[in-house]
Amino acid sequence: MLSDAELVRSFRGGDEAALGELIERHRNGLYAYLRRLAGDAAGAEDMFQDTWVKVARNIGAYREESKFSAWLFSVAHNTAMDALRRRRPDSVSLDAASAGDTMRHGVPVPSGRPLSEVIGSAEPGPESSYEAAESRRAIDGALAALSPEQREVFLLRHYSGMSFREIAETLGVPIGTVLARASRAAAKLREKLAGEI
Amino acid sequence: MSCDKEGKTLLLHYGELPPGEADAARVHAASCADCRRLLAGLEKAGALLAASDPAAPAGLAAAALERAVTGGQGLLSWLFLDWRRAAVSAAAAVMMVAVFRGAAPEPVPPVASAATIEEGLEDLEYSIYQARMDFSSRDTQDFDYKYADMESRKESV
Ligand SMILES: [Zn+2]
Repeated sequence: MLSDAELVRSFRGGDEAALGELIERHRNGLYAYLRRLAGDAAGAEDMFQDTWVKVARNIGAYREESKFSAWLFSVAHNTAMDALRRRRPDSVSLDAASAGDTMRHGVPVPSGRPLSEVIGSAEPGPESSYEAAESRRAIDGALAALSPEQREVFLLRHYSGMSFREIAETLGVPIGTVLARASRAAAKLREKLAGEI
Repeated sequence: MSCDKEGKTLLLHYGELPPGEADAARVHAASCADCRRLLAGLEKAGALLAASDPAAPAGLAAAALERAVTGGQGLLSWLFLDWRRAAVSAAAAVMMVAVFRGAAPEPVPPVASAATIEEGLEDLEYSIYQARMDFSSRDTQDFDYKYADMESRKESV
């Protein structure tokens, strides 16, 4: 099996199927991350597509010294933050009407809302089984207790495979801040999930 | 948060410690109730996430590939996403037709000036947002450290 870096090289050489393989390979992890961050399926799907458009457009910026997944998730994270901040006050939960509304003038419209107000906790998605539903209930409840910054660090570390140092670079904050947020997140999760353990 | 080695335990959990340090952190965690609880919490959270991760909808990967290689809106991505926007536009168009058929011609409302005002407001909101982000990014690290410190002091008290 080709490595991610080899697929990137093929794509740079004009092989579009190589990009398809990369999308397929990272599909579920990336979607799950965006779904938890967006809080709704429609928003996550938009972010997913926008992420890959940016990956294709900026593939020249990827350096093979770093893991492709780390670069991919930093692109996805920035895409998601842009999208979440564009949401209007009345469109925090994206539905058909508000999805159209955020692009009404054909350009992204920042809503002026801070991060703390735009990152929602994940809303329940389609339940595939009782166990999955119960797991979702427990983890959503625990994640909802985190601050947006703590949730951001915890989800990035869980899904992206980025190190805390790489996360610090992506977020543009010192590593100590990232570790402090992760520690606080872990402490709150421990507390909230105490009954589940 | 009552153990000052929780940061190391966190790095241990995610496999970010060099082997020598990892051994020491493992020895510590085995004998520290706080760190054992921290690890149990992280493991439980990870397991619950894995057990409830939503799978990407069928067709999303193909739609993303099409948009990525065309750099714009292909048929698949339209089918996948833009039907929502199209539905909103269509609904608006139907309403407009209904209004114009049902009423006598009226003066054109001052759409342009309303849009201009709205865009001005949006620019202003964006400036405020940027200023707020600049401000918060300068302060967050101090705040995080102080907050974590205060929390641990509170617990030890
Ligand atoms: Zn300890």
